[in-house]
Amino acid sequence: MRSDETKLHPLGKSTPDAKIGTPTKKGWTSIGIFDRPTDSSAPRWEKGPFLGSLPSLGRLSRTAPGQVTAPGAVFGFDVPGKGRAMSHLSRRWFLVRAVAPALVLGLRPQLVCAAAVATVTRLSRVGPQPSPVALSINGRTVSVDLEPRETLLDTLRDKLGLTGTKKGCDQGTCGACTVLVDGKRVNSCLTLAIMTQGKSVTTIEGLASGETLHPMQRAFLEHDGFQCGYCTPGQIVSAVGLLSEHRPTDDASVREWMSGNLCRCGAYANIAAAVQSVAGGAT
Amino acid sequence: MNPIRYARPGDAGDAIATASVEQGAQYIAGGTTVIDLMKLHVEEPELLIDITELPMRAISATPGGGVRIGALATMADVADSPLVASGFPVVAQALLDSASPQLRNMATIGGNVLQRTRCSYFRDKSQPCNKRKPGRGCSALDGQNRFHSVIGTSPHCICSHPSDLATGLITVDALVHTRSLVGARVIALEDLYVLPGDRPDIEHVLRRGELIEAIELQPSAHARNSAYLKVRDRASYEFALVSVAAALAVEAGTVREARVALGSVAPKPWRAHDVEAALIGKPVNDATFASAAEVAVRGMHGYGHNDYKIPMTRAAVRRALSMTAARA
Repeated sequence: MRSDETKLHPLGKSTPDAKIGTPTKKGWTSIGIFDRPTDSSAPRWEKGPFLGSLPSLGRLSRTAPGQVTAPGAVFGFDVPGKGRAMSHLSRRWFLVRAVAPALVLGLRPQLVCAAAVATVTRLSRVGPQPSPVALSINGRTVSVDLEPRETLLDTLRDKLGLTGTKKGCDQGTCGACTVLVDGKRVNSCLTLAIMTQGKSVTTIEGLASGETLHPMQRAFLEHDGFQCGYCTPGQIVSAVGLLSEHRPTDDASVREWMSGNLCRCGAYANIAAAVQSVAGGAT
Repeated sequence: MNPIRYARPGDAGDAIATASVEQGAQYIAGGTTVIDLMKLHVEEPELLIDITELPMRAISATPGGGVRIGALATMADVADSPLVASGFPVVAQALLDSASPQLRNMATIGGNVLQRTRCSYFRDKSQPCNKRKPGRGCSALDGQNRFHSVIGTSPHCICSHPSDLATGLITVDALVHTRSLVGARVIALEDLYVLPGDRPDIEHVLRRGELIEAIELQPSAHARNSAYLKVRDRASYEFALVSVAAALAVEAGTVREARVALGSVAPKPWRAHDVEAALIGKPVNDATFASAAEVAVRGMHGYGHNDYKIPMTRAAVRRALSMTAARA
């Protein structure tokens, strides 16, 4: 295993300044909410069949230090011996595989659930309390305490002071909250901030280089592509996203591909002209 | 929005095990339905299982000439896929007619086919709704029901299913690949949905924790010659009032195979089997399409504000069939 893989952010993404990564259980490294085996020879869960044959009882009989529930205890099996820490795979595989036929056969549900819950205790979680998360906003990595329920929009505006991104409908209808995530335009009001971890977020504040406006910002000024201005940041960011999608640049196409951004002042004619002027390469 | 916990499993096994047994656990991918409904308190999960790290985003050709679309492929990914556009134009068109560019960059196709109804009473927790709380009554029956269903309804629910994509997918015989604690299975998309009956809260046949892994498009002559017609209040970025997906295999001026599905007129994407039967073996002409359109509205009945959907369906079916035939 590469050494940097032990320095993982609480939400599973590698960051240079991650503090977590101290070995805990034998054979495991705590990386916050996601435990991963530190032993690179450990079987890879995703490479195996999900419901294949049962692992050998020899592997089942091993117990892990600090393990919440020994699988054998749940199922009334004898759990002899004290082997090395049970592998990441075998404990879960046994339980999931044992639970599945039990469900089919209609065995006592509480027994089944107890086993399955023991299985999934390995999947750690965060929240509802805030926890520190690193986000990449406009090219800078910022650490912010996030509740999982916080939308990217609220985080940008209320915690990072980036109020250029506007809250209009707050339900994915108006486009005022449009930002780019990994270069693609999305509605930040329907995006959980915690889910943008490891991705690159660009807001209206991130478009200009210093004092030099982005060509789309300049075009909106030149074409007077706004009236009250509230929808404008979303319009501009959406238009920048549109540029990278390489769509047709005729008026009807621009209107169709900008339809996720509403302007209640009705400045559409000038907005479309501004977008076309940049998309068509004739600023 | 209620406080929630959050987990991001790296493999499907963890995700499925957790979602299957943990009270209040729910998957989240694009979030465009879940977060919207959480803000309205219509859905109140306690644990969101973020499945976006799972390797389920690829769009690939299958050996027989079909396409397998990972459940996490976004609507934009699928609409832009040459594989989809060439072999299954109805799917690409349905997607391009859906939502907005932003939402299409977010929403996944697995989530799209499971999206909830847009019924305003379902979305308003202050109103009785049998889908939210069985037994409370249906506010739409005697309320504002302009967007509601005209077929497949029950005395307990008249909501309509809003997915353009699912309507299109039915006409290309799409299969849903799922995985749950008891194993993998394949469900015809058409059979994924159940009508409200006296349990409007049950919308599909998926088990608790069962995860959609992929949607498979099956190649066919009718799939290659397919089209989507969406009728709506605005030209773009609006849900359908009525939509029609049509797929026709035509040989020597005769319809050899047909698929017709109706959107936004029923509580599920509605496959019009009787319309298909009325087309097969008939000459490709307007008389055939007009009589098929007549068959399409058989058994429909309105609830007042949505009465218009019946003549609109008749006209839309006829037009969609003409459009599709003109492609051949």
